Parts: sequence; C-alpha cells; structure tokens
Amino acid sequence: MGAAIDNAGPVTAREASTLAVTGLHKHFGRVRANDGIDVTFRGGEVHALLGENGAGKSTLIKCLSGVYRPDSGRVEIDGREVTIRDPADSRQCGIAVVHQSSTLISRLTLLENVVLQEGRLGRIRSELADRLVESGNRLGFSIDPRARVENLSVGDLQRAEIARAFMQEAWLVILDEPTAVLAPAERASLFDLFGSLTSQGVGVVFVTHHLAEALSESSRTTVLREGQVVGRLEPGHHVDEADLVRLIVGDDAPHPSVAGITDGGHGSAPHPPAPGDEGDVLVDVREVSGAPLWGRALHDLDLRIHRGEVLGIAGVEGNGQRELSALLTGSWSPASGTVLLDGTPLADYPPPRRSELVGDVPDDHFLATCGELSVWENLALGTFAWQEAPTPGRKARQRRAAGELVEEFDIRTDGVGAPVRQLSGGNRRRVILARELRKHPVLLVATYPTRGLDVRSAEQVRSWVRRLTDQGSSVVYMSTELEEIIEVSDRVAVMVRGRVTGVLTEGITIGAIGNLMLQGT
Amino acid sequence: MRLGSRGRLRLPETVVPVLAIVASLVVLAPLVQIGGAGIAEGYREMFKASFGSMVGVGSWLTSSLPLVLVGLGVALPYRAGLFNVGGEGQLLTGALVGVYIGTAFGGGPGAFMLPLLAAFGAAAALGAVAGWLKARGMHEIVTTIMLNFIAVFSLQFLLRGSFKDPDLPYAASRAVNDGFRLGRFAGDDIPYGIFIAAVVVAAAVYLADYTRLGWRLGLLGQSEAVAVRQGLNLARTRTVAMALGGGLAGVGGAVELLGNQYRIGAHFSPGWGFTAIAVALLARGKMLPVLPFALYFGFLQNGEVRLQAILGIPGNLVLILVAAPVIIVAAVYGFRAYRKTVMVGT
Repeated sequence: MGAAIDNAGPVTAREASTLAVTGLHKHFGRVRANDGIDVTFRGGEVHALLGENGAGKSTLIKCLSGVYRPDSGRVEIDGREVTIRDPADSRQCGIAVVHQSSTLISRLTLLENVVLQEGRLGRIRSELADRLVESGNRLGFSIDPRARVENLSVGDLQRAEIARAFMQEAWLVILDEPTAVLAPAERASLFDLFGSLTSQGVGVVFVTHHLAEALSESSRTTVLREGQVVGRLEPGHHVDEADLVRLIVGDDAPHPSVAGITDGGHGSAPHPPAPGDEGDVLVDVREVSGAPLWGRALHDLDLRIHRGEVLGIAGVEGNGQRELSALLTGSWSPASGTVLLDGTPLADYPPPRRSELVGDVPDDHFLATCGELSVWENLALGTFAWQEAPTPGRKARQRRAAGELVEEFDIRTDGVGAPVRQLSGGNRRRVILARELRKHPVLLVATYPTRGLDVRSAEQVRSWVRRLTDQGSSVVYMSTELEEIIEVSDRVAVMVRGRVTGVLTEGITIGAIGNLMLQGT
Repeated sequence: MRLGSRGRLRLPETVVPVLAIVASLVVLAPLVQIGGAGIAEGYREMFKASFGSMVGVGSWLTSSLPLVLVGLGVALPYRAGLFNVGGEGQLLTGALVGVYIGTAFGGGPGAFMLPLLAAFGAAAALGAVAGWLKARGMHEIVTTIMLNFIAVFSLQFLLRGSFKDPDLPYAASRAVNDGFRLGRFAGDDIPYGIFIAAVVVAAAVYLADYTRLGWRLGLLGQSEAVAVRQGLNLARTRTVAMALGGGLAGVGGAVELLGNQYRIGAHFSPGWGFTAIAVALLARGKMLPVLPFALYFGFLQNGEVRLQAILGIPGNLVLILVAAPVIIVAAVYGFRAYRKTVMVGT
C-alpha cells in the first residue's frame, strides 16, 4: 500500500492544476474541527483561507499534508482520487506545506533537517545546502544551513521552514499563517514570490488573519467557521473588510475596532497622553548586557516601565524580544546589569512572589504550556507550583475555576480535562493568556500575545491588556505588527539586534518607528 | 477509495502494564514447558511459595519490602524526568549505614528509627551527588551507575577489613543487635517492616500528589522549558528529587537488613535496585502503583527458589517475567510516542 496515488501515473510538479476536497470530516472527541469541507485549490492562483481560531484551517491543512488522516471525505487531484496517509504521500502529490509551528528537529542543523526530509542518502549535502541557501535567497532571506534549529528564534525558524518547503518540486504550496512572523519588508518579498510562483503555474494557499492581506494578495478566498465553509470569494467578487469580518465571525455585531486595526490608523491612534519619563517607575532595567545560553546578546539595555502604562516593544522578531521577556520575567539573569521591580532586584524576589507579580506570555507556547497536561492543570500550573498545595479540594476548585476561564476566554476545547496538545495554536495561547491575566500581575510581559489569534480575539487581548493597565498594572507589549503596537502602547521602544535604539513618547507613527528600526542596522 | 472512520481502541493508562504482565506470563509458559515441567504445575508452585502458608506470605512480603521502597526511590526522580539507575548503590549505602548503627550501639524500644533515618540521610546524600552533577551537565544515568560501583566496592573493601565479623569464615558484618531489629508478628512470620513501608508509601504519595514540591517535580518532568519559565531552579529541584529518591532507596536497604538479614554481605541484594527500575517504569513514575508492581515482582522472586528446588526449573526463567512486561510496556509507549510525533508533526 505504498503508492499515494491510486492510478499508477504520479502527479508531478507542473502537471497538476486542481486539488478538490469534498466532504472532508475530521473530529477530535466532540470537537468537529472539519465538518464537511468542500474547497478547490487551483494552480497559478493565490488562495487565502480565513477563519477564527479553531475554525478548522490548520486541521484542513494537516489533512492535506498527511499529518492527520481525515475521518471521511475525498481528495482529488485533477479529477483523480488520492489518498494522503502521511507527509511523504502529500509531498509525492506535489503539495508543499509550511506549518504554523515548526516541524524541524531542534537538535539538528537546518541542513541535517533537510537531509532527513529528503531521505535520500545519495544526495550530496553541499548540493542540498546550496539549494537551501538559494531558496532562501529567492525569498529574500539569508539562511545559514549549518545553524542549529534550537538556536533560532521563531521568526528565523519559520523563514527556514518556508525556504525548505520551496525547495521541493511542488505545484501547490500551502502556508499556515506565513506572514505572522515576518517584518513588513519580508512580507512584501513573500508576496512577490507568490506572484512569481503563480506565474509559473504553482498554486499558493495561505492562512492569514490579516484581512487586507487576503483581499489584496489572493484571487480567491475561502472563509471557514466551526469546521464548515461559510463563504467563497471568487475572482471578480467585490467585498470589503467589514463583509469579511461578518463572514468570519458569523454575527452582525459591530466590531468597531476591526477597522482600526486593519486600516492601520497611522499615527492617529486614540491613546491617552503618554506619561512622561519622570512618571512612577515600576521596572527599572539598567545597563543589562549578556546573552542567555539559548539566545542572542542584549547590549546596554536601559528601559524604564511606568506604572499603568503599556510599553510597546517594536522590532523584527529575533532582535532580542525573547531574551527581554526572559529577563523581565526573571527566568534568565544577565551577566551584567540589574532589573529592579519596584525598587528591589528582580532576582531577590522568591519565586512564589515573583510568579504572583509578573505575568508571562512567552512567544512560544511550548515555554508556557505542557502538552500532556490538561487544560485545567495548565491553568493552575504556577498556582500549584508556588501558591497553594494541590490538595484534592483545591484541585476541584481549580477545575471549576478553569471551567469559568474557558468560558470567559472562549477557549475551544473538548472539556477542561482535555490535554492541551489537542488544542489549536490560538487556543493554547488563550490558555496562557487566561492563566496570566487571572493573576492580575503588576507587570505583564506579553511577547506577540495576539500571534495566531483572529481579528476578534486579538482585539479581546488588547482590551484585556487595557483593563489591566486601568487597574494600575504595567504591560510590556512586544509585537512585530506596527499598527498593533501603535494602537495599544503609551510609549514605544524599538529593539534592533539586542539594543534599544530609541523610545518614542509622542508622535508615535510608523515612520518614526521605522526610522528607529533603521538606526540599529 | 473512501477514507473510513477509524475506531481505535483506547485503553486506560493503568491497563497497559497489567496487560503486559499477563502477556509475559503467556510468553513464559512454553519456556517452563521446555524446562521440563507442566505450565500449570509451574505457576501453581510459584503461587504456593507465596500464598501456600503464613511462612510463605511472610517471605513474600519480606522479598517485596526492598522493592517497594527502592521502587519509590526510582519513581520519584522519574516523575521529575530523572532516571535513577543508582537504586542499587543507594540501597546498599542505606543498608551499610543501618547495619553500622545497628551493630555499634545497643538499641532499645523505638531505636530502629535511628538507623532508618541515618540510612535515609546517607543514601540521600549519595543521590544528591548525582542530582548536583546533573546540574553541571553530567547525565544522571552515567553518574548513578558509577556511584553504584563506588558503593559496591566500598562495601567490599569494608567487609575485608574492620567491618567484617572476625568470628565468621566468610566476609559479612556482625549481626545487628536485638535492640534494633524490626522483628515479625503473627506467629513470627509477617515482618513489621510492612508498617514502615506503609508509612513511607503514604508519605511518598502525599509528597508527590499533595504538595507544591511534588507538583514542581511533576512539572519539571513534563517540560524543562516550562519549569524554567515558571521560576524553578533546575539544579536545586533536580538535586532534591535525586536526594529524596536516594533516601527512599536507602530506607529500603536498612529495612531489609534490620528486619531480615541482620548481617550485611557483599551480595546481600539480589539486584533489588535494578528490579526496582522495572517497578517504577511500570508504575510510570506514580507512587501508589509502585506498591502492586513491587508486590508482584516480590512474588516472582519468592517463587523463583521454589521453582528451582521442587521442579528443577532454572530460577533465572523468572527473570524473563521481570523483563518482558517492561519491554512490552516500553514498546507500547514508544510506539505511541512515535505516532504522536508523526501526528502532531512537531
């Protein structure tokens, strides 16, 4: 049963032109992730997939890439039915997939990962290395094939994944939220690449939460909600973002904020006057230098975070954000310099106190949730580690509390007892947000908190952040989305290569931030 | 071709080791046959060895006690993601310290607590060394194996010198004084050590499942990265986990010596420290399941002698019964982990 294709002739790169999915079902317990999906992807076209978190986009992609096997449904390529049992079948069908979370093995180098995937020992490593580098160059990335995956930031990693996927002979390239981690310039070059791929007859399917992106970059759009296709935009249809939002969200409730995010309220963001630098300082970072074992170096970092403010950290991913978040949450102590929280060195707080005071939303959910533990256990992770002993009574209470949090934060799960690994990326992020916000920390360190969240959820997150600062807490808000940073922040610091190149207190515009981003290079 | 829906049987986690044990009994049957005895006869004799009389029950419990305690000593670090292969050395250290105190002093009512506590402390120190070294990048499997050798050869060295009973023609220590012996009850068959084991099991369950420390150990076992972000001090937590594990194993050694053998010889342990690894693996790092699995392996060990003496079947066959379930369980979990990796794609 090795053949992926029922009929003998293999479907190779340029031959195929349509992939049709009909009646695709995939259920996880009671959750109907895909509930009868019909969609057709064509070569030579860019096709955007939209939908809220948990709408079934990633599941659909995983079914097509052989990660999941659908419960039922047909997949046809050029009218011939194919069975995709595993990723190798999918590749043989000419489908290249870039997943949302990395599929690279962290202990190996990029090149070793590629060799593994190619699975042919006859291939010469240097040839593969050249092809990987070349593929990266075509995308406008520079790639070091000998870099170890574990040393890469999420952004580098996804770029590497994209480059790897584009190495394959494929007629259909599927990308799960490829732009979420890319800086604007890189994003533009990705879309250029989409153009050159489609001109060669290659089809591109991409998931995005940026409606503007979907409208401008794709010729067709499919909207999923609760596992079903609820909308199809064909070439020639004319819709605006508001229509799309209605399709995605599925109700007619107004979403005033959506326009604000997606049209990018350049410089006109309605935030209260920023406190001056003489404001009441909660966190004082002084002359921090050094690099954690796993990351890049921070250089002479000086930052003050005032009470009740949102300090935005703008910058391209991998410029020290992960290190800064480890620094501010106390999980890494630098070689030199100090971090004072409320006048006392952060390292002097005993862990229970520190975990009470500082909320931590790291960039990667693997740093904050244990896949094998249940939703409620993950929500109680820090509480049982430091605050209260996990007696049966308290466990029952935490379980009940988890039920309420699941409601409040709209976590889509098959019960609070379900292991977190079954949740979609966006829902895992909500678990982390729910846990950290519930603590009412005096300082919340949020690294890309809205990544992977749909428009409505992202807006929710920003309103939670606002509520926190209204209560006098401070938030460090890191994002690669400049519009988002501008909307949410009182002041904005820009990080480039482990340095803060400037802090904007007023006149926070994309242009001003862009200038500071250029200064460090 | 249509993709049919998959109805995959999902077993509760605790069932897998039990099924593995049943499977191993089936696997052994033909070997017993080859060994020259009937299958039914073989298992009947093994059963009789432990349940045929009060003496049998006593000897079954006696063989099981070290397994229970060392099993906990392996299971607790396992919970924190540490593989304690040093149970044997820790058991031996505890036994040695227990015997030393038991022979050096007179003892009296309640005096047995002293050698038990000292055994816990000494073996905990040995375990802590492995935990401390782990924090400095040396893998605990390597260090605990090396510490086993150190413990074994230290014992042999002592038994050639000052620690040897000069009145004996072979290398063994003096016997523990009556005032420290744990003794037996119910017609001098059932060891009092079972109460000690019960208390220790209860304490281990409490520590692992009802305390913040236990939660932190479990968290570390689940994900080192998450543990660090939650503010755990890896070095300290690992040292504590290995120290507690070592201490529990040490108590196992002391209970055996104070309650059963009284004199320590170079080969006083039939490899409890290693069988305990099988116990802890089948219990999957949970404390309470250690008890039934330890009692089962104790039952096998107790039957081994009888199998050999009465039926003339090589007792080593029983070792297959120890090894086979572990291999089966490892294969099942290994396969699942592989599937999961493939399915999740990370």
